[in-house]
Amino acid sequence: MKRQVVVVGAGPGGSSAAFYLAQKGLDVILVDKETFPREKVCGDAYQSSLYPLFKEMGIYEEMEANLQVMAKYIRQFGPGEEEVVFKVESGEWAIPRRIGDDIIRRAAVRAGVEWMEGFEGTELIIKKGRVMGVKGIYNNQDMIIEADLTVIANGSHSILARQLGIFNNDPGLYMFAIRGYWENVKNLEPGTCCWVYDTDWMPVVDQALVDEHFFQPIWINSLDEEGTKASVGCCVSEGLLRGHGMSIDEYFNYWLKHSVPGNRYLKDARCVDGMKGWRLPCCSKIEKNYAAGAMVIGDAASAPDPCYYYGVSPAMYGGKFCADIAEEAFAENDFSEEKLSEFQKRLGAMYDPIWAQYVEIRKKIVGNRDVARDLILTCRNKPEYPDIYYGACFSEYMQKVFNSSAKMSFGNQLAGRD
Amino acid sequence: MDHPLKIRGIKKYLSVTQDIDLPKYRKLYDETIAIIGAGPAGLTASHYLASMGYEVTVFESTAEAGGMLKQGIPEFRLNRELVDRDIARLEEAGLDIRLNSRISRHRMEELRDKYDIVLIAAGTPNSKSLELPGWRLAGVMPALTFMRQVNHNMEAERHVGQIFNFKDGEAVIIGGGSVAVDAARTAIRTGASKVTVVSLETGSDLPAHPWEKAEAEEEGVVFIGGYSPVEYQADLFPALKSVKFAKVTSFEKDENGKISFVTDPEDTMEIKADWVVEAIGQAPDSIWKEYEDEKDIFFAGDIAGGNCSVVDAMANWREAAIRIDAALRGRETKNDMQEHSLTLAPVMEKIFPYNRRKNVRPEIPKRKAEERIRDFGEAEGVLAEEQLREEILSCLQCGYEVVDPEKCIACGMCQKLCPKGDVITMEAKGGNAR
Repeated sequence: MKRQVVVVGAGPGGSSAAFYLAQKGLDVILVDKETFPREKVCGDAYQSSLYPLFKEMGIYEEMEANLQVMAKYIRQFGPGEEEVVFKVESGEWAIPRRIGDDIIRRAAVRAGVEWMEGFEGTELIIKKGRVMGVKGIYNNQDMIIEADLTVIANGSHSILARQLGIFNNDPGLYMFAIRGYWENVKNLEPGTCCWVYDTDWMPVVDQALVDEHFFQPIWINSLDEEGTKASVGCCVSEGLLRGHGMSIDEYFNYWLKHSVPGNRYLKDARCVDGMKGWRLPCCSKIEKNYAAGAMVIGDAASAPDPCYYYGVSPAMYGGKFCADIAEEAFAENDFSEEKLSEFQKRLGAMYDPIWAQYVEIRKKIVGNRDVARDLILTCRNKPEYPDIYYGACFSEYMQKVFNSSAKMSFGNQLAGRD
Repeated sequence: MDHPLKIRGIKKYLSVTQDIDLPKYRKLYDETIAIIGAGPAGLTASHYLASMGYEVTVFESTAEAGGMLKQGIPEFRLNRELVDRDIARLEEAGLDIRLNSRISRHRMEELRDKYDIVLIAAGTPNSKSLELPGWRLAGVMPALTFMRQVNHNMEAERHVGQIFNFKDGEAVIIGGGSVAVDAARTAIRTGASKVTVVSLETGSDLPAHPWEKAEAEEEGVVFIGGYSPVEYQADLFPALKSVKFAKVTSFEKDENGKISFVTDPEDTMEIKADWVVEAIGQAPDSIWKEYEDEKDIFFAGDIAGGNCSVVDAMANWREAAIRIDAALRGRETKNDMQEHSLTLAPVMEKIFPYNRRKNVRPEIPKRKAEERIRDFGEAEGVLAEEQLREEILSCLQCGYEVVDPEKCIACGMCQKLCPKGDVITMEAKGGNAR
């Protein structure tokens, strides 16, 4: 079968790409190996920078109606066992990926995208150095989809992306993560999410190692009003695990036993179905995400950011921009590497500057134990401090540290709130 | 004759023991016909149109022909190999079936340019969803998704993050038709510890055939009628825990089969469920709707509406093939399968046979329930040859095997009509005579 565009992978990245491509009037087929709705192991965060896209896709209200995490407060744990509680105005949305991703996918279907579930792409069709479609398996049988443009959006394990030599992550930014749903959680104030950035509990004494890999968030996100159920997880770099000589399970269980929040909240709690893992190759800037006849979006292109490891935002914006490039490519009948390199340029123009700042945050604030501890103490003295998310609470402090007027709250910027 | 002829059993005997030998299709006309869908309707239409002399090309979106015969109907009800064999015979006779050829809007325009007639037999491959609160919980599955996965040996619990107990779980099937019963019997075979079918309909309103329901009950499926689902419940998101139903207080089905019902929201029932299959009906792809009024485009099979069984789809396609031929050639071909009207002879009491006995028909062999739920082998066997003979050549029990000599005029009609031939005996005063 032949189409103008085949989008492999119907997560947020692929579904947005398909949506925006269809809006350009292109003949698009969206495929995924799973039947939807489907499970996706993740921290479940949809960043605030995505609200404008949700509005464009007509799904803002539906996403809002499916919020899972009841966050009214954030309790931040820092070095030296320091804690501070922030009231939350708004920020990222935690929606179970199973639901959120299906809402986004349906927006694409409503826009006229052809949907085929159960197709697993196994190999790109490459002729004369140009990607001409994808070979795969459907119902345990071979199937071929030919296309002028192939959009690869099938996640961090994408063998299609690897076939193009696209599998990059910055050293030190190869992250593993696990998460689970817990019940019988105790002492968690209703509507509170705990974000743990302390390291005092860690078994390794080598401070240099800890400092180098400092920003390794652990979260306990309240799932109900009573505070007895929570989504718990952690994200940790491969380098730190190697330094500790531990697997991520062992690391997490060690934290449960030895840390202040682990003991306070989860001592008698039970993980409902076991901790499930995934990995995130991250980069400090947008790396090569194109080839002749193809563009690569989201985790498949190692797009998650280098500080908070969020992947949904760069994936969906990648989807939006790839449609602009595709429109030009079809108009000019030019699918060369040179033409599609525009994709990296445009997405990079949006994310590279902000990620450069994120890298600074890692190094100068959270990568610095004393500075991070001071920050918490400073914030503790200002209980009315608004909107913690993603550097927002750091903004006044950041200005002092960097002496610049750069706005840190990227999400707020795009959401029109700064 | 007291019981209907076991047509299904006889046909099964024939398909199992006899292979078909189709003569090659001969092209007689210039017109070309594209058929979308290689399911029972599409394949029947293509066979008849090709036999009439048209050049036919079939476009099938999936990687195999057969449609619901392979996607939806479970293996223990229909032998896959026989389906494949029959399809192979069609291809050997010259039928051009293009697999992996899903037709999009753009492609449709190309087909209409290239072919004189396009027949859409794309079926209803999408399970309808109630979209009740909680419908996106892990464990809630549309019937066709479930059946497709099982029919292709794919694990339902495929993703590592999935939180529901598939094997050994308690399953609830929502719906009352054949698909619901198939899903229930499949659930038993895939290891569900308990299977309950809950339908709006009760008693004889149930769309599923009584014999299907009986076979399912033998296998341990429990049927509850008169309830409508209102919510999928979870304890700790996102794992399904139970399904809540409301009692149906009034139920009506009009002559078109449209259902209307009222429930009592206060009268509810909750059933524990680890997973749920929604088998409440199917819909075609929305892309086909815009072609409904086009002169060069025909529809039939499930997509043409109505409650179609496979047999209905195949029968009405023969009709459609005749209509298309009429449109192209301006002629009226006779449908030799059309119903013939029967005139019943008046029954006269005086000659009503006085010594009729009730007929006992051979039963189609069935595997024992405890044994057949352990695998996906066919639940129903095949009539043995003697049973077949008995079924089709059996005594009509007309009661005329003993003849009153006062009335007999020795015309020989009874002997000619009797399936057994020469067993008419004459009751003679003081002795028997043949």
